[in-house]
Amino acid sequence: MSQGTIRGREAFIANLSSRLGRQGPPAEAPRHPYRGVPDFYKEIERTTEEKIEWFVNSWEALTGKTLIVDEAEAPARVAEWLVEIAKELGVKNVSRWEHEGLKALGLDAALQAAGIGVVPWVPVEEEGGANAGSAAGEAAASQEADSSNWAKRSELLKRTERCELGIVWPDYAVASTGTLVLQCSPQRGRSVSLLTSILFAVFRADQLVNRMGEAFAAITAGKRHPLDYASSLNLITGPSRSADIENDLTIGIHGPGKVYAVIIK
Amino acid sequence: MRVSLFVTCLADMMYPDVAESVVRLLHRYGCEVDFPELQTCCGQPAFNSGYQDEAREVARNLIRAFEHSDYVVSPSGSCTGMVHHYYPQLFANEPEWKAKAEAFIEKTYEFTQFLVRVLGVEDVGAYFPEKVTYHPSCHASRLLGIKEEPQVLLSNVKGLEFVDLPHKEDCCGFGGTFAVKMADMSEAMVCEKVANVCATNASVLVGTDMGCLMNIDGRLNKENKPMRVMHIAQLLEEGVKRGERTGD
Amino acid sequence: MSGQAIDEKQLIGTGLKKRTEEALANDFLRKAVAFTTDKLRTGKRQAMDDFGHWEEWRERARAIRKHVVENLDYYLTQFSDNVAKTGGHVYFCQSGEEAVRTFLDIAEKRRAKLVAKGKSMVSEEIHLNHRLEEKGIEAIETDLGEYILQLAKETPSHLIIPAIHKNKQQIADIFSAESGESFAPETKVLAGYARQRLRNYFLEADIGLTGCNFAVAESGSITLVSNEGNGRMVSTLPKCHVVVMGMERLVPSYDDLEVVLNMLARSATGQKLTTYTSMITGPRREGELDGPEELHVIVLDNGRSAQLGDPVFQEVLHCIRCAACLNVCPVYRHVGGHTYGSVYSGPIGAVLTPLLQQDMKEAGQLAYASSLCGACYEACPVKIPLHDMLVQLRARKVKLGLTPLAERVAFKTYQTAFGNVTLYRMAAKSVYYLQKPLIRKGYIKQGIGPLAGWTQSRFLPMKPKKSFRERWEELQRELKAQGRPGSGASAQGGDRA
Repeated sequence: MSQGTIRGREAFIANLSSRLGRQGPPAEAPRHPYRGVPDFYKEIERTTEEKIEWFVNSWEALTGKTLIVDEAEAPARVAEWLVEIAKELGVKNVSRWEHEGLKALGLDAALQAAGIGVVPWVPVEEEGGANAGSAAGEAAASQEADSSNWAKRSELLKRTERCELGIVWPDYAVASTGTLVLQCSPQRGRSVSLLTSILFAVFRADQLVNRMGEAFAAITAGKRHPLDYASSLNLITGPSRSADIENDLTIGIHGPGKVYAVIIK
Repeated sequence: MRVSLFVTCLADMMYPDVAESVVRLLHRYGCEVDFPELQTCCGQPAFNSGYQDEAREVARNLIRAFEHSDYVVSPSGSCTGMVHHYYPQLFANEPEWKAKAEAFIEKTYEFTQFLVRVLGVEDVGAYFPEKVTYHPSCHASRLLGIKEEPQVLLSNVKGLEFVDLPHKEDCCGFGGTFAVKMADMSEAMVCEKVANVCATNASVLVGTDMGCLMNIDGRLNKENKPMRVMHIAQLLEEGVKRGERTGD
Repeated sequence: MSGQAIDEKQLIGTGLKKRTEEALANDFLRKAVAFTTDKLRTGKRQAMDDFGHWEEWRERARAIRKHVVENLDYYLTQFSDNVAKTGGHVYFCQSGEEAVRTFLDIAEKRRAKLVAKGKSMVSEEIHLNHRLEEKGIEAIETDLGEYILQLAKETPSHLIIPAIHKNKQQIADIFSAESGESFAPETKVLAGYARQRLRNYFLEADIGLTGCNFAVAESGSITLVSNEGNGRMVSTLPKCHVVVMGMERLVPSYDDLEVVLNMLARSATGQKLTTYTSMITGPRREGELDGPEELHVIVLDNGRSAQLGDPVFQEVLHCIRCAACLNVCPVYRHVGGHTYGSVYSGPIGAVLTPLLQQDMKEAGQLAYASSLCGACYEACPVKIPLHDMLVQLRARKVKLGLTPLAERVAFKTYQTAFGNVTLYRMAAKSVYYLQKPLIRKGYIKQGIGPLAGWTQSRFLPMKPKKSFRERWEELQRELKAQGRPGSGASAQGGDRA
């Protein structure tokens, strides 16, 4: 990772310090006695069963659907629900994170058995390998490339964009707001929860927290350097929506409009 | 208990009846009411237009007028709000006068505040068999925090049918010089307030501030929609008289 | 001749009356604004009640924002160090011009032809789109409301829901003109078109441009909130992500972020959280298969630092841009956002615009577009005393000698007449006589001079012959005749609660 740059800071900050009545910024972190949420809010603590109910109520109030399964029956029932949804909504291709938990559920097999393609979040061989050498192929490729940025993007991205449904396994779920907490990584692309019109999330009940601050605290714990953070941390609370057209609510505008959550007990 | 009346320039000049109702009710509850003659105005018209130096001199006169009072009671949430909220700031650079201002603030109350919180009166024994709606003035409710007192007093008036005013928290469009300076905006606001008031089908509109009431009443009259517009002191006083007559 | 009229209307102060008149004459706009603000106001109230302890939350949010602004030099230093550590680039720009040139440089280096924009008030503040147009760079607004307005070549009328003044038919017409197809004025159809059209821009954009709702100093993260998902799109797909941020949009830590996020969505729309809340920490990491390769953060001053150290106005920098103040403002309710003549409208706009532009003469006129009702302060999740600031702006205008002579004379007269009881009594007496020619059936229906503003829409009652103080003696006699104070009440049986 190359070092980034900072321009114009000295004069800018000097001006701020001067207006704040000092020579320069304090050397030490200023005392911040009001950091974070008020105590009464920190004290909220519900049982796992309560958190499940809380999450489900929040999620379903936003038009999300949920399925609660026991660990033992998870593989069968999750796959069943997924295929049912996929068939109902005419899904032809599914994108998914390269996540151990998801793989253990055997979803790929179930989807493929139903004739639905799976695009895992792993690098893909560039298409047109057979034509790569031909002049015509190259000319065509470069012509396409000149006119379109998207055409020049990776095969994985292009395939993911054509999927109708994306499967993720969040790191946490926030019960009080009905929120999925997703950190990206080389195996867990941002695009999987963004580019499709249907979002399918699976997580364990013990990943539920009461409030988002608990997720934040777990995520920031022990981190010393900004590179320790995921480059993208996404909180997803229900389906994409807009009321910009005459205050009329539209569900599903750019992000997924249909959202499903599976909670494994 | 000695109480000085802070009449306010508006009530003094335009609505002396309201001030008289206040005095009579205070008297009824054991207050010996006096009227310090030196008083004129709280300075709000100048202050709200940005003329702080001018406002300060007028405020100084007001503080002087009440220097020897124990309690100061006013029929205006707006003027009382001016005193409470802005006097410390007006005299921030004059320690002696800042202290005087703070002493003045300590003893100054809006009428319903005084009745309910200091005198502990929630039921004046009034009988007022009318449909009544209430407009909470912005300064009374937001600067002084007067939310319950008028409601409590009204709720105990026998025969009174209370109707909630739709969008009651919206300003009536008075705002002092705003009403003339931004006449178009003010007009839009008072028209909506009047529409809401009429929608209640009440026969009486009651409030704690004559600025607001003068504004709303002025529009009601222009629209030829006669409705009694009363200060709460007037309503209560009339209710007391009616109560006495019917022996309730 | 007509060119001159257009210019005047665009002057924030001089054109205020004309813009007000136009807004008040636009029935659809008024209905739309009232409907929208009622809806958002109700949503917020419900969210506040559900959440509970609202005053404590406000106080906590205020304390956090106050702490950051008081230590902005420290936190911006920490923030920028951290962004650089992730490989991002930070540009501190004192003026809007500097920020625009910085962006153009980045665009040039990337040979960018197409910029996809997430909602960014700051980019509008510096008129970035106009400059991109000059350079032949296409900049597409991807927030649905902003996209509609961009096609219509109009400016937003509300901070959060920018195109409330457009109805479905108008939107259908706008989309038809753009695409050559015809559309039914149905939400589903129109949203469907927008989704498909904007998606193409997401995929093809060279640069994604966003604002920043909250930067987190401890990690160098940028927080973006959106309901539509366009914020995620423009910060994920294009290879280059540029953030333009007001320098004060900062919190120290993720702990603090929780507080402001809780307050923002609830105050803006009544939601617990917007659908997407994304924290971006640097460009993509080694081995990642999506996400921007480059991250640039432009930190903008543009008049903000002028408020630092000002005991009256520094607090205006605490604003989290939720628009709760717009939704309760009775003036905004009737005139909508365009009347304010600037990027920021409503109560926050009336205060911020003169301060950021450091223009008390023209922009300063906005300070009068308020009845000082205080609803904005009551609604503000970080307790900015906007109502006080409006009065202070007026005071600043007076101190700078920017008010009309007639007004200054009037208030000096007021000071003289009302500062002394003898003169006051004389003034009151003369009012009684002066009003006589104007009175019709007990009212003044046609005022002169400043009174005309009143009588434009109201009757003015006549001043009674006797002021209260002239009736006081008689009242005293009446009370004396009644007996001791309190004797009436006990006889009556009124309760002492």
